[in-house]
Amino acid sequence: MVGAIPLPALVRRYPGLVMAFNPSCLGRRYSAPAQVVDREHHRSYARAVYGGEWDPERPLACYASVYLLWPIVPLLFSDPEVGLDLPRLLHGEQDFWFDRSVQFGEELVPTGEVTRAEERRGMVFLELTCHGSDPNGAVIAHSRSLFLVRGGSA
Amino acid sequence: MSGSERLDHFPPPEGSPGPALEERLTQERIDAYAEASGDHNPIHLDPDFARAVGLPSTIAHGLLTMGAATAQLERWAESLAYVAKVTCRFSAPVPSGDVVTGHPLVIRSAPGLAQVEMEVLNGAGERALTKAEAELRGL
Repeated sequence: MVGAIPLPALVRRYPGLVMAFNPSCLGRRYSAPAQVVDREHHRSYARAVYGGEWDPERPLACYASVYLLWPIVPLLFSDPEVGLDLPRLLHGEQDFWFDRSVQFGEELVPTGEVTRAEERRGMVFLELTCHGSDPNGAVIAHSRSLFLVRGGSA
Repeated sequence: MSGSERLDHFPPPEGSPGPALEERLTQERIDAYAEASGDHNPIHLDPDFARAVGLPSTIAHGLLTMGAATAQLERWAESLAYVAKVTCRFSAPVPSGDVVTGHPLVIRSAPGLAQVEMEVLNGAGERALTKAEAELRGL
């Protein structure tokens, strides 16, 4: 049991939640369909992040979480070859970087790779590195995420 | 939304302050962020689930806190520079309703480039974002 709700009840509410971690998932790769950096959708993102009305001239840097990171993360989290225990998962670190300023209307193809997978002192360390390429294959946007799972393998 | 300060020249000198951050991350805003970002992890949205995994309440997405801090810099520098790199470590949770605060500082300035440290505290004064930096590049 974890906290107030028995773990089996949580698993019933959120199927696929608890899996056994597989350290040999290092190098697993994922790809998602092309994402358009849509200005209209960005407005609602900017309202939530900025907390007021503002229509920025360029996509906000952390909007890469929407067009680059989140298209890949569900593939990682549901991958039985990785096996993440989601109730104990923490987002530990995050980097985004760009080779140039991304513009509204651009189309980027996200890809991701597990670039670190280890279990140390009862903690799982899983690093996901993503890249976003334009239709010509030029990489423009990058993301590195470190996820931690408290308590190690399920 | 913290303020409407705007940078008037780029790069700003080393040691100069960036735009102060002081924002309440309400559950309404967390819900709006979940909708806009697609991150529907129940620790942000479902109080029962949050308590079940040992949290006092739902917490803001780390990427919302990071995004809020970075957006302040982007608005500050909007017509002069863009954020070419942003990094952070999520060190403490931000419970729903907390006011996050930060006082960014320019720690490096070079032609066409400025590096800004942007540590963020949660409502309890704990460091929610550490090793948090943004690199601005002139347009």
